[in-house]
Amino acid sequence: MQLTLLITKLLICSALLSCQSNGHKEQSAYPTDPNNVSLQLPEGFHAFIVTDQLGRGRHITINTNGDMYVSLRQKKNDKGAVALRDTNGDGRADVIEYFSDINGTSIRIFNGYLYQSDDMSVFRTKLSSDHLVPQDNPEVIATGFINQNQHSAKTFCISDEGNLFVNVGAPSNACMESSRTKGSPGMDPCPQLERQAGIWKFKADILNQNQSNDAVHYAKGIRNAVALCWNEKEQELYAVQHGRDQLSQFFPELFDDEANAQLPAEEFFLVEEGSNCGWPYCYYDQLQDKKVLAPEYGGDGNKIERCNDMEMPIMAFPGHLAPNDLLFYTGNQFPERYKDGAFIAFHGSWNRAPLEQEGFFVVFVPMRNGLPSGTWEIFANGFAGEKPINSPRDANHRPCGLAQAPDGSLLVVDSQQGSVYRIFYQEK
Amino acid sequence: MIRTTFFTLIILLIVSCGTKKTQQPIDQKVIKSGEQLYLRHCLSCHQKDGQGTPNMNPPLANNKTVTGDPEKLTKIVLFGQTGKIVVNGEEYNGIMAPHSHLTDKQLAEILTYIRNNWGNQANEITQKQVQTIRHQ
Repeated sequence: MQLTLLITKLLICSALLSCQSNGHKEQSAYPTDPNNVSLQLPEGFHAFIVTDQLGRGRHITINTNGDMYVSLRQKKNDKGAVALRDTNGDGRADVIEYFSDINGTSIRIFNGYLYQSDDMSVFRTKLSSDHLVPQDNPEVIATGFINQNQHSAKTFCISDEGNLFVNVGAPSNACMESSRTKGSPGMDPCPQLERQAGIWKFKADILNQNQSNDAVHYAKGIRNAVALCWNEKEQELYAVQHGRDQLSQFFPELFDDEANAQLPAEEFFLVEEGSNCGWPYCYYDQLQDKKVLAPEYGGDGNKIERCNDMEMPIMAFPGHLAPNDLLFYTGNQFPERYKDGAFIAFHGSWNRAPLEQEGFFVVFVPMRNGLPSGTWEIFANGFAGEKPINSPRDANHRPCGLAQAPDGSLLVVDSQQGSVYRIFYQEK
Repeated sequence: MIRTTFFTLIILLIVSCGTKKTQQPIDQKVIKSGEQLYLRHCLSCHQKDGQGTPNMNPPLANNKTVTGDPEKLTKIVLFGQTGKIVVNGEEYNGIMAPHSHLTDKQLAEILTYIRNNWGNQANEITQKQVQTIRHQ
């Protein structure tokens, strides 16, 4: 019984301590000593929490005045997005306002409008300088997509010329006749490629465009590019694909659990008009450095056949890490080597099981002339916590969205608890 | 005061465990075999700890559909399921693939295992029950 009393005392003490450390958060001012979060970052970089407990945060966008807008996958307070404003310049959010009937993943600002998407449409709403949140009703920009359960988020990006690129994910894992069912063959040709598993180009300023009649089928064979970004400097579209799952589960004779945990690569593409990236027929094996035929289409892990003609990635990451956002850094705050490089938010795996789950981090890829100029490196880590993650639900935080603030700091949204991190550089 | 609270808690625990132990004991061989089959056929989506994959595949631990009506659960595993569901306040809109390629015995073992692991407790589902539901 004495032991239980001791444990109770310890619990009370630790609760008090954690309250105290929350209190300290308010006192530190950006950028003197604002570290209140333990992330592993390269030397000279620091991070702190802008705000937390927002809900199921997905992507984030930031206005030229520093106002931040975060999309939510599931509504909170019956609203699908949340606006954040820092009124005292400490880099944290002092005003938090939930708004919008639209919940989903993508959110971007273009030409004075806030663009958002749900699973069926892309919308825009006029922003006004007098209000933090939009006051008008949203207008439909792009619609007419097929209703689908898997990979349904219509993530998008907008070029400076006003082209709206919308990712339409594949409604399946590998276009099997019966979805995710062992022994079911791949459909050949895959009918899902006609209206899904690709990128469609719309105009950002024309209302009520329909996918079938008004959009250009810009690229195909992309399973799901949640991370999609227009690179203004290069005038090119880039995407990072969520590769297929379950190789060892459906084809245990070809792949063991170790191989399944690695394969296939998450592919980083430079997407050009007419690109065919290969899904569902092909996947990229980063261990052999080649695009191979998927086992649903007669592949054995080595055969290439029709995959010779498919777009190769400009970089390949280990399997299942789930790249959820892509950003090209154009700021001046970070050291020179980061300029024009790519940051990618990885949401972390689920399909590495029974092996440990991985990839709850933000990666940096140095780039020159629009192509990687070195290997990828983990830029920010420690979101998930210190313990090994066997199941994705064990992760405390999962990076999902990225934005570059006007001062050049990098914002990262977490989907697990709705924390927003600000990462900045300051030489000692 | 704390001492009394602890005693009450312990008594409550004993009482709640006691009331659930009215069900038939389950052969540990069934559980062991069910575990092996779970690891091969179910693990990737529902995870080792039965917690599922957030936003994709629901948890099986502490899930009333898993410990509830045997026929409903068996049908989901045998014939698959699509459409929106809510488990413990979270929405899922993924796909549960049909598993009719597994034998009645294999399915019965998996079902019994998931109904009696990660804190779940419910009656065994027999090979005969699966067979009946498969041919309904």
